[in-house]
Amino acid sequence: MTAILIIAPLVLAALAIMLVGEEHFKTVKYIAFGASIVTLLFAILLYQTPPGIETYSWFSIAGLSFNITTSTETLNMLLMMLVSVMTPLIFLYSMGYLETPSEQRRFYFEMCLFAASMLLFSISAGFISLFIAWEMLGVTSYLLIGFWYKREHAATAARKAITTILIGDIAMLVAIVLIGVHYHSFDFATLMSQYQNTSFLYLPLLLILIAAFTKSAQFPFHEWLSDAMEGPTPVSAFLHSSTMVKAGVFLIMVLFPLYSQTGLLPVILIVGIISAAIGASNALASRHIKKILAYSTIEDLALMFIGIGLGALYATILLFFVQSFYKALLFMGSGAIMKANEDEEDIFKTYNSSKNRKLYVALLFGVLSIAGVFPFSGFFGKALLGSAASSNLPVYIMLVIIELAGGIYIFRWLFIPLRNMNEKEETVYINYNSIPPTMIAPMYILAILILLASFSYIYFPTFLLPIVKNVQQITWPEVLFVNGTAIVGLLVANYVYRQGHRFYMASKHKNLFNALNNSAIINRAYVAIAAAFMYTARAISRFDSGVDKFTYSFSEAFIESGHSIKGLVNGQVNTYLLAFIAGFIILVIAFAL
Amino acid sequence: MPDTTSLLSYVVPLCATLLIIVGMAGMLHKNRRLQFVSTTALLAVIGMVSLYMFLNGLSAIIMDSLAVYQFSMFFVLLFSTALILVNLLSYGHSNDYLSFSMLMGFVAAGMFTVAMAYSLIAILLGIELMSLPTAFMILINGKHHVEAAMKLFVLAAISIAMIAFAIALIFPYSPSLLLTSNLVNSGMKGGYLIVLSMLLFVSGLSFDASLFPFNLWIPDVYQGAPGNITALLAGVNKKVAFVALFEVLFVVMLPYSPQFSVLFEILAVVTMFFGNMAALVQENVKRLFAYSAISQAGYIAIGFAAASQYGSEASIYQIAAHTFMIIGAFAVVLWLEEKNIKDLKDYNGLATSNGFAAFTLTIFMLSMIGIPPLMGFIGKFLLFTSAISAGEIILVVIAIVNSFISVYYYGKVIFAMYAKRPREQMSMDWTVATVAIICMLFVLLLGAYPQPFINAASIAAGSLSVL
Repeated sequence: MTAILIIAPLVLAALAIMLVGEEHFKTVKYIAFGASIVTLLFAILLYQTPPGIETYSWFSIAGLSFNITTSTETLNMLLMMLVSVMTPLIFLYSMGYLETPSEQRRFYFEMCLFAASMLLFSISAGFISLFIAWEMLGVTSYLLIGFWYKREHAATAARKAITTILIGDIAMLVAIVLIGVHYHSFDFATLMSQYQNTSFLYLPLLLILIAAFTKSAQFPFHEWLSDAMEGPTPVSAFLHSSTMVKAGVFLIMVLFPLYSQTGLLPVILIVGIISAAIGASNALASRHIKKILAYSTIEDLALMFIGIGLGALYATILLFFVQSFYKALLFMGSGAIMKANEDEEDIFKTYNSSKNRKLYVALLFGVLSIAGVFPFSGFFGKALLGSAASSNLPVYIMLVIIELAGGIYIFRWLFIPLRNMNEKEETVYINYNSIPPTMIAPMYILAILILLASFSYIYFPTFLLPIVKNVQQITWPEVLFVNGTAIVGLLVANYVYRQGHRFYMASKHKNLFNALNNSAIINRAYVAIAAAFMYTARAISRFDSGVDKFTYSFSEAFIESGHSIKGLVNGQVNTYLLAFIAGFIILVIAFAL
Repeated sequence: MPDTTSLLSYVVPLCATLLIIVGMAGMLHKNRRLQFVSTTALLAVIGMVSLYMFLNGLSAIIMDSLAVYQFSMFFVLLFSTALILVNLLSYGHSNDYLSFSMLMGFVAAGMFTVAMAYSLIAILLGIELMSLPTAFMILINGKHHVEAAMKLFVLAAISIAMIAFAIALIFPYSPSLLLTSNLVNSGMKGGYLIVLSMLLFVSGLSFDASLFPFNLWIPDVYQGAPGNITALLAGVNKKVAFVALFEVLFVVMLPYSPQFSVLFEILAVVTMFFGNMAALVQENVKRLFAYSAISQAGYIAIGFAAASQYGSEASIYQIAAHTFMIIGAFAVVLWLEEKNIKDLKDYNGLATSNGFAAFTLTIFMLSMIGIPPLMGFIGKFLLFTSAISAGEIILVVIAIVNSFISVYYYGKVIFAMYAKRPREQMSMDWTVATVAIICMLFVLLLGAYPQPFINAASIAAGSLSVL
């Protein structure tokens, strides 16, 4: 079975879309959707065949062979199935979401290539094909984030994304060249089998880690992901669930044996904890309906990195798997809410989300899953991670705090759009009936998948047998804890945003605060926790903008030096002659010394 | 080298001479089409004969000054292919094609002389024969090109003087001026004069190879010259200088490889930064490509810094890759310039007015960035791995950083072209379209299936080392 053919339907669809005329804009979505269904069928077919590694020789020089290596082994299969399940759902959602005729061709063309490059990434078992896919992912995501390039924010967001990703690309390419020259092979298998020389591998692995952090939006490379919300919502749903941001985590999971050998796991753990704190606190503070989810993705990915850092590969893989479904669902939901509220992005200006019952029920699935309520699949991911961390007390405490924040912000995200519109406030035209069924249907499929994914807890130990040696069990205290944090989050959010959503007033006016008939002491503790989160969130967001300014001035410096070079080339032939002679003299002096 | 002189080995020099004669004859019969057909046919004969000799590994020495061996045949083939493309481009777009064709005869003869050089004098003559007519080529296309032609002329004269002086300096060390004669380090201390001579060679040839700081004329001249001449300058002239550098450094100066390795590390780094930084702020697209061509020269120099056979293989590959990328790119730019589309802002919405032009230009630029699986990616990858093999990690990191800086300015052009702007259709004439298609096919095919071409490059590099 030629695994590499999995990218063929989507690539052919992209070519077909490019070739059809502008007047056939209505057919392109069906072409893309059809191709994604064919891809899914092919993926299922591949799943049936026994796993194996295939190598195609591309070219070789001076003893270095450049091979395209594909693998259909466990982890590759997992990601490939995820992507090929998600692609049709996203395309289905896009049918309802994207209406402008002139944008159809470009959107589906870029989306098809994006999905194809992620599929290529998922089956790569060597650095050559991996790098091709990695670059294609970067380029296509740049195009998609900047899809509405006429909006200033979209253009800057796309630039920010590509700049961050390019840092990762540089690191990646250096690592690949180093590894290739040292091992005379670019295959993961060769690398795994001869890693005795760990001192050499330290640098390349560190570089790969940096590359993974840029793709997976970890500290200090996390800023681009929240800005990437300027892209169309289907892109966000795709980007945050199974593609792009998962690439970094996936790569580290594949190379996990090497990382545990070289002792780089603590680095991963620390970066994971910092990123999780940043993600959770920003999600609490943000007012942008999609950015809350984006920060939550940063936190999710950080949890996966924490899992890797703890050496708990099994928990990480499970979290990796279940996260895709609920995050895709939540993004689709946010797109639907925005569509009903005249594309309003400020969460405090969206109202009445319960008017569309179908939408609301679907959202509940996603929210309960991300909060970690049993029996939704998110619970298993979080509980397993918690069980793995329970031996490491400081990490565990951090994890509990982060999960608590996670509970609060996700219910906050759910509750704020639920409010009824205040007559006195500006009247917004709200129309929940305008949400087409093609946007709701994929959400329900995802809701079912969320429930089905719960069975992965039973099924995964046998599925992952070849790569995971020690399978953790969820401990009973952990069950209580994860559900407990979810309930606490629910209560806090309910208290703050539903019963008295004038939260700031409540903290100022003690009397009103006491009048609320909740247990005062616990409430005060909740408020203190929430306020502490708010405070750190603001502090971190201030720090974030500092990081932002730094990168900005860095790029300014680049541009400046460009201008001064322009001044040097002034069109005077005697200047050039002078430079000519001076260059020669400098070289002579340099060699004489 | 075995001297198996056959009649066939005289074909290339003979045809090159014929090219000059046919060029002069064109001034008499004044038939453009006849002129075009005859020059193209001669170039094609040269190309096919060199291909035959390359594949069969023939070798011969002609009158102790020219040598037929795989390295020389590889580049004769490359240059004749490139000249056919430039000739076609000029046939469609030169104001005075007949004069161009006459001058091209000289330029081609110079190029083939350098490629086949077996003595230092041949290199000097070849470079001279190539550089000076190029200045006149710029001139025949109109009075407003005088400035560019003048700059090229003056600086070319200086560079030739430097090469001549370099040859004079190593004369005491060498029993003859043949490339293969070993430099005897007797009499004077430490071979310092040989290093000085090497510096003079590198400075003089860097003028054409566009390495910093000998390249400040490049942007002005590339921008000022008509597009077909720019394609010739960037696509072929520059590569000839690199070939001359190969012959001088990897054959004559081979014992001094640690020195020239350091030298090229410096040159590569400053050239890459110069080209890429300056390209970031350009508004004129032709000038932008001029700077990009400079930065590409910096990448090619990495292979020299590696100073190994692998390094020279990688450089040879990249030289060929850049020949096709830049000729194709300047062909499209030339056509747009004639439509008065010069600046970046004029490029807005090019895709709607001519999708083919936008697409080919995008392919060339992606290849220059080094996006797999195009030819530019493989060239860069080979260069980087060769430098790592030689232990030049920092150089590679700098080069990779540079190649990502370049994403910004190429990306700017790509984005401008695909921006949605309503524009009227423009049709491309067949000469530009043919050149663009041929170059694009080379870039795509030799990128997707590079093995035969890499083998050819390593055979060429191998034959250079046993010369």
